[in-house]
Amino acid sequence: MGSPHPGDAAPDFELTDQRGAKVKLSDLRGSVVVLAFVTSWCPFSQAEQPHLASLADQYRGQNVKVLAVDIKEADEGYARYLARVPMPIPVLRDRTGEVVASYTPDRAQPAIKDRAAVLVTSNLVIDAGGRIRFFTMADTANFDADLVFVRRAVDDLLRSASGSRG
Amino acid sequence: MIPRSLAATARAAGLVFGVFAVILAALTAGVTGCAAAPTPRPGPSAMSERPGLRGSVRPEMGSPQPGEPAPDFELPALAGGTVRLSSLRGAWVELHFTGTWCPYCDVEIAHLGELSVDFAPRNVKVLVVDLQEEPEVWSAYARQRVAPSLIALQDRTGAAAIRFAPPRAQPSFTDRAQVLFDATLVIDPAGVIRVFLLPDTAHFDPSFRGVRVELDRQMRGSTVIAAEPVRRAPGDLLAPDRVVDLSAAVRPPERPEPAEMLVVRLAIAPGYHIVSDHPPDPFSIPTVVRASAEGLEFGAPVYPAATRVGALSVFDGTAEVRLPLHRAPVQAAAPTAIAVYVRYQACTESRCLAPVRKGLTVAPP
Repeated sequence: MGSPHPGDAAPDFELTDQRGAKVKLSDLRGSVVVLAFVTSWCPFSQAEQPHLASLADQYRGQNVKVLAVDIKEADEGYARYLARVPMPIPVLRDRTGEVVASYTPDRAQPAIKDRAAVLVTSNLVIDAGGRIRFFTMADTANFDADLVFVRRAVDDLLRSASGSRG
Repeated sequence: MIPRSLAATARAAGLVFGVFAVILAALTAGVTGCAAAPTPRPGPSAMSERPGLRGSVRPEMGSPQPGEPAPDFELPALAGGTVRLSSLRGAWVELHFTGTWCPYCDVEIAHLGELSVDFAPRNVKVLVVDLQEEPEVWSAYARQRVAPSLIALQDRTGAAAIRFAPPRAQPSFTDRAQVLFDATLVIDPAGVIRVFLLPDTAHFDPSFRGVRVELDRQMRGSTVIAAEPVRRAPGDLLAPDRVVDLSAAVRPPERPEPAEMLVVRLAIAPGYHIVSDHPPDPFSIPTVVRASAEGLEFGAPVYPAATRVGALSVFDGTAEVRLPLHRAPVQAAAPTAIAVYVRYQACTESRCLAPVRKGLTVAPP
């Protein structure tokens, strides 16, 4: 499908969250980062949302940052996403879709012209060195609403980090 | 003349299971058929393995499934008035659910227009149903994107879509109508679902290539009401669809059962039995009875006690399956005829026949 894929450096970005704070991905080096691309209108994003919120709670106190990126929505849609479930994580806003499109593999879903839309309800796990270690594009027939595979990827990274320290 | 070939494969489990595969091959250069490779198991799940038909609902998701009657609906059309699905009986119907925001749906909708033009001479109606959006959003979008050859409908509340949502598909979705976004169904002239695909983004087929091939195949294959072509069993065995005589009636409430009951009677030919509704062998094909009608709701079917024959669990003689029946609230339309669907696999002492699906219609109570 082309780049980026697991093993590649995660494209850097700086976006603003719901409280107006700027978040720059490269500032989070040293932490495991979960990155979820979401929209208010996608039923799969909606089903996943409470689990994304609980992911942050689950890893509280550990070296894990969970970020959601809302894709190209008007104020109304962005507000609807935030209102649906209390989100204890930064919900960043990519108004143009440029940041998200920088993550879209070139040959993924070639029929879809809006390249940012290809990644709606896609999840990544990025290691402490800023490399993509896990990347699932929306897979509706094998939908993992509970984020079981994301948690597994995070656990693997935390385990290998503690192993290398000890 | 439809070329068919029958391939049987044997399987030892105290019995010999006959597995029949019907292959419909194109009539080209004197080729009238070809042998099918033996398949370990038939069944609707095989459809999901076919290229272009990934995302097919799987039996474990629950009803509706291919082979069962399509739930009916009546929805407002963009062109004015309403369209009732059952009024299209006699035509093949492709039914597609869409949302203007859905990027996959948006790519598909142009191809859906092409498909409707290509198949119009063969009496195929293509319905596209917008789900849960404001009417002005849909009409503005449709002006730009929906071909006039499509029958554009709107399910504002999702009430029609919900009736199509298999209960165990996308279990994380609390709004069950949303399960149908981007779903595609093919419904035959008798109103029976033949293809039911839920979105499978990992195998996205924007131009409906797989559906076109399957629609063509199904249209050549059958004009009968039964979901499967009638098949003759080898030797002196009854054809599998002749083993069970079906009848059904609505019985008034009787103590201790407070509800009206739809009683479906399966009269099984002497010398035969059918697999029960809960066979212990996971490879056996259980008997399934379902019913549907506008304005009526049916409870879970209550099957009779099964007879144990060695490791098998079977019905023989006459088996009565009862479904509690409830009338929908008064504002709903008067009940329509009840469509009853039965699937069974019949066996003799020494062998099993291909599973069959049968249906019948019962007058409303």
